[in-house]
Amino acid sequence: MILIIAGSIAYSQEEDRLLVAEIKQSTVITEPATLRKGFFKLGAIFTYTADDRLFTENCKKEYEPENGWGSYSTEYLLLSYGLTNRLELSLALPYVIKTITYSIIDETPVNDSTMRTQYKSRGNGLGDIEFGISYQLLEGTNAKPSLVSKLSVAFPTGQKNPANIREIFEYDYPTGKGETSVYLELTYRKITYPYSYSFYGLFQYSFGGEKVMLPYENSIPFRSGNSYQAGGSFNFLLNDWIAVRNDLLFVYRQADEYKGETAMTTFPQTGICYNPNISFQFRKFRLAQGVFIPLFGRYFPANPQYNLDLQYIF
Amino acid sequence: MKYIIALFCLLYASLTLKGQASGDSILINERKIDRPLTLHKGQLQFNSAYEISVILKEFDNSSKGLLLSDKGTASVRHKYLIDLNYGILDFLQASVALNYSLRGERSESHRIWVTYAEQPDFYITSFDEYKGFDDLYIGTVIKLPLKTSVIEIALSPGFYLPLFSARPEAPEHSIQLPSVGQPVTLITYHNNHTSGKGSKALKIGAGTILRPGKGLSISAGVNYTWPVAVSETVNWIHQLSGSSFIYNAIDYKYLIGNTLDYEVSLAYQAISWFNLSLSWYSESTSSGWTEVTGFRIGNPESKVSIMTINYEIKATGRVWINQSASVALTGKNQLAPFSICLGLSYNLFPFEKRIKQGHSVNIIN
Repeated sequence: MILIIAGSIAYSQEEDRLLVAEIKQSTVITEPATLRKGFFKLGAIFTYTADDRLFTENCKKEYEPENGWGSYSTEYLLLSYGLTNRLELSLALPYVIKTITYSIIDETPVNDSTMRTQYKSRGNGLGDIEFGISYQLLEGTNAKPSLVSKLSVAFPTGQKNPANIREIFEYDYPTGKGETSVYLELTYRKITYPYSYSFYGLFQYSFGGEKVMLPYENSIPFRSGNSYQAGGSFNFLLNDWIAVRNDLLFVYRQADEYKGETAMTTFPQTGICYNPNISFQFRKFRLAQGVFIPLFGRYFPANPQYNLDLQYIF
Repeated sequence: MKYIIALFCLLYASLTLKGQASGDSILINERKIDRPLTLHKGQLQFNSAYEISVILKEFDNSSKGLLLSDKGTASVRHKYLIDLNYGILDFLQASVALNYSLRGERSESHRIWVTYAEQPDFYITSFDEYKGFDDLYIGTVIKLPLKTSVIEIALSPGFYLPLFSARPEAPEHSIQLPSVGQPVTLITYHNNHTSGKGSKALKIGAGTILRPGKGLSISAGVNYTWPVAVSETVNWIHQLSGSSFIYNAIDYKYLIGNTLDYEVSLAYQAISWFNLSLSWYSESTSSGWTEVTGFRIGNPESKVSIMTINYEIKATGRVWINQSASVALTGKNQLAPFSICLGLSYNLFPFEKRIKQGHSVNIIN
């Protein structure tokens, strides 16, 4: 009798271990909407984009013809923990790398002289740290859809003012926004193996702050415009461990406010973006990469952004 | 471009609907290093890729690397690559390839101070836009009948057709004359260029693959391309009339140079579905001329050598995903891009019923 009971307990424990291992190895299509209780996820995201084109007032995609080169990269360290099967905590630590260069040739025929001036500015450092809480309002299963709400806060931990000013165009760029922002996100997802689709909406509110906008100027009160995003994704598995994601995203961002009034130098931005993404699942390790492609917009950057995402679940 | 993409999407979808075929078993069991230099008889292969290149450097006439980012003239090139291959026989393959690319190149801005003032009198920016299809490539690959799987040799003759015009669009210069609140005359020179060479050309090539075992393969290929005719295009000149530009096209002739390129690659099959390779590509172009104001000026010699690291994942027997990162290490009169390329290869046997049982198997063990 004891042997039978002991055997059945050992069998069920083994089954649980297998189930846990299977969940940790699930793909981006089949993974639970939030991390299971006690699961810990460590991730790193690398992003890169260059300043090249933009959507104009007439929604036309045009190159920025003036001299100048800007490249932007942000590396995120992501930590997520499943507090319960429905509640997940997450922390994103960004490191920002910016480089902007200009070169101007001044010609003075009266003096018969030519002079080249080159400016190179960098901005390297910690960005704004983000903390988030996700909760499954509707707990998803293979048969039932999930509905997840996420509330996150970005704290102004990054450098907000230009520093180490050498010239009007040559200084250390700020790596932070200089204000606290909150994000409220709602995501609906349904799995129909080997496919999944989702819809989501996001609202961002910024509380504003005070910072120096340009070198040699005094700090002024400001508030970034609120942002609204809505989108959907259609995802499918190519095989047991390779998934393809297709996200379509609509973005609307209000103009910024300086000294309580709409800033003359910023405009409401509108954009529609497509984000194809391929994800490889090697047991508990995941590698995903994609390109964020702006398709349409108004006063919106039109530069593709390359993303590389690495994750491991403990 | 939109219509071409739509056409290929339709073709891709229709091929997908053909369903599974027993020829798939060949592809499922075949590792990358075992693939013959030509496709299997009846195998249709559709390759598409997107390449993004960041061009931060160029090599000048003395092969010295110049940092374009310091001058604010670095640029990004987007390239879409499409090719279609078909195995007519086990030793004969037909190929068609067409690429589309676009890139905008800025120049250094000029401020011209005619008078001693706080503001310059003129602010001039120049911008060159390169976009369009490359010349269409149509070619074959003929594998020599060697009775061994350790080494293969193939010849790859082909030709380039300038299907899409080499004639660039008219420039889009603009001028903003001084006004209240804007004391500076702003001039933007926006020139348009094509991506293709716009010339009929022939190509002869040869390739080989050596499989010494232990999951390794060494492959090499060499190609020589030369023009078959003098080509003609236009040079746009402009004239300012009030505050608008008037353009006139001036015809001129040119002869593209002869190009010699070679590639050597070392590949390692880590596991059955994952292949890692390192390759070295070198290209040099010489001779050719361009007519300038009635005189034929010789084209400058150009060279570039690129190192690439590449991996391929066999997602299914039919779908292969490959990605590469490449960097230009040496060169002369050439741009030096850093590129990342993501490609997808789709393979199938659409007319399999016509293949006799056991005839199409060409697996190299």
